[in-house]
Amino acid sequence: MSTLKADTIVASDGTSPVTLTKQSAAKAWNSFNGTGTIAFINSFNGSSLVDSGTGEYDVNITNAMDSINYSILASNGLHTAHNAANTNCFQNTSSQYSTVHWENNGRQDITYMSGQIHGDLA
Amino acid sequence: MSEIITDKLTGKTSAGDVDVTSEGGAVTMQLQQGLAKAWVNFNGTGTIAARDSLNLASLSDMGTGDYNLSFSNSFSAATYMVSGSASGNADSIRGYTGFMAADHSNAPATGSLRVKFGLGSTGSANGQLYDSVYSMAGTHGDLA
Repeated sequence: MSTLKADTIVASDGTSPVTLTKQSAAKAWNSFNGTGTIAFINSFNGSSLVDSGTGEYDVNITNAMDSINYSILASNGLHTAHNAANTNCFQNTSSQYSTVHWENNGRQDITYMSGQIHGDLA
Repeated sequence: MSEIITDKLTGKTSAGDVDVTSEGGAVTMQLQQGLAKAWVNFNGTGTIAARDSLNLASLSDMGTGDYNLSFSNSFSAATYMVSGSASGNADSIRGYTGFMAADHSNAPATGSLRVKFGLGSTGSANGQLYDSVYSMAGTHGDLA
């Protein structure tokens, strides 16, 4: 087996990104506690969280995407009363998205939220 | 276009750190952090079975909509991120909408994870755990 050792990989022009054959890496991901004083449990390329009201959160990322057309995948943990419901998300800017957790037609704070972003970085 | 063909990439300075340039060229970020470290697509009904997976050692049925995933390669800490989704439930009210939830009443471990799948709530009914035909979960974080 051959092993290539390098700290940074760029395309042969010295600036463009390399192509991962038939694969794509997430550009940001995070998990956080959405109750009380909200806080990241873990994150990659996440900079801060904003509590925008019951069940609604803004997630800011450090290195911005190149447009607002990135993909967001969001999930939630279990809520003790309703066994979870659904989580929506939408892009605000190239460096911020919002995610909203719902239970029984109402916004609900929940202890575990997670999200990941796929697309092109700036 | 130049192409490097190799079987393995290793960081030169730090073995677990290989950076790649962003699409727009503005930044570099760590390649490993962006890679999913485990994922599974499985049928959660009847005798459960994975259709496809990465880094999955075993899949256990813990009850209705309740499953335990064991990883072949463990995480370095139990704070890895979990996400997922479910579908394929022929429910007359909720249609095919399902949810996946990380179950923190059973604390995640570095080598295993408890996840639950079910139907979302409606205006008149709470959500409920449910065996879903298409049950999918994925994780990001640091492997040991």
